[in-house]
Amino acid sequence: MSEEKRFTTEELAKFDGQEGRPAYTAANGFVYDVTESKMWRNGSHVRKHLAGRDLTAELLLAPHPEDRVESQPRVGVLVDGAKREGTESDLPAFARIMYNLHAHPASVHFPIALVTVAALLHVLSYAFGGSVCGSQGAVNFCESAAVVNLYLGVLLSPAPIVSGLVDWKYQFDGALTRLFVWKLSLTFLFLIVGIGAVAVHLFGGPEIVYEALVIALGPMVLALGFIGGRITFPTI
Amino acid sequence: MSEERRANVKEIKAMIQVATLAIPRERESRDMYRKAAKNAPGELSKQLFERLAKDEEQHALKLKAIIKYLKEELDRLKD
Repeated sequence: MSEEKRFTTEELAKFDGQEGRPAYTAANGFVYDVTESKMWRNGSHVRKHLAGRDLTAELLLAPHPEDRVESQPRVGVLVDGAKREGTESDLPAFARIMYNLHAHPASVHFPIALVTVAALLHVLSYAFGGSVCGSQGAVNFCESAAVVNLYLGVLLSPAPIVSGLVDWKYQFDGALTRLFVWKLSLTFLFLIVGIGAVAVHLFGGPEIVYEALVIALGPMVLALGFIGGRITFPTI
Repeated sequence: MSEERRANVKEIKAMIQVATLAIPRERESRDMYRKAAKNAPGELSKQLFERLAKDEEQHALKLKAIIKYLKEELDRLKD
């Protein structure tokens, strides 16, 4: 059996079906001659798909079976095109370990819960004063508990942020779709506001600013959790 | 940008979104079948799980190819 002719993508482009040239197209690593096909005219199929190109991905979106092109005469192999058969490269070791440990889902609930409770305690304290958690002198226990929750929530947040970024890069190939843009933006905002709230408290800044920042963190982490849920359990 | 073009962009973005979210699911299934193949009690079950793992792998590759193509289409529409 004679060896098949080998084409590069560059060579394939010359067979575009224009000005009397043959029309070749490639799919899944093979090159097919569609010059005589009734479905192709002047190197074009339904005025959308052009000859001289690797159509592997376009075929996956075609309204007809993928093997329609494969029924055309095969004239060679495409050495540098997309292939249907293949193996995905594995994750880097550190990403594999994080994935196996479920690092992001395991760590993300802590800051969400802690910061939400901090915000809630401030709202309760604002609404009902010391009557909900109790107080001693000037110390409102809701506010004291909120401080502890806030500090822990902000302190623990790097774990889900780093593991989330690793997941995003290696599981979702760093895609910047609407959901990920929202998630990344809100994460950045959470960090700024969270660190800001801690700093204002630590350095004795205005109480109203501190409380506003902590309360703002509540809906922020809930929104982050919601988006995380949409990514993990998509409701399309 | 015309109304039709805007609708096309919206549709392509929706397809990219769904395909992107689907890839990790295919990989999870692949990993589950690989693990099952590794721990398979017999040759028949091992072969079955290996074949299923390979199917899931191909699904992930298909989705990646679709995303690549759709991104090119999106760039073309935005030009």
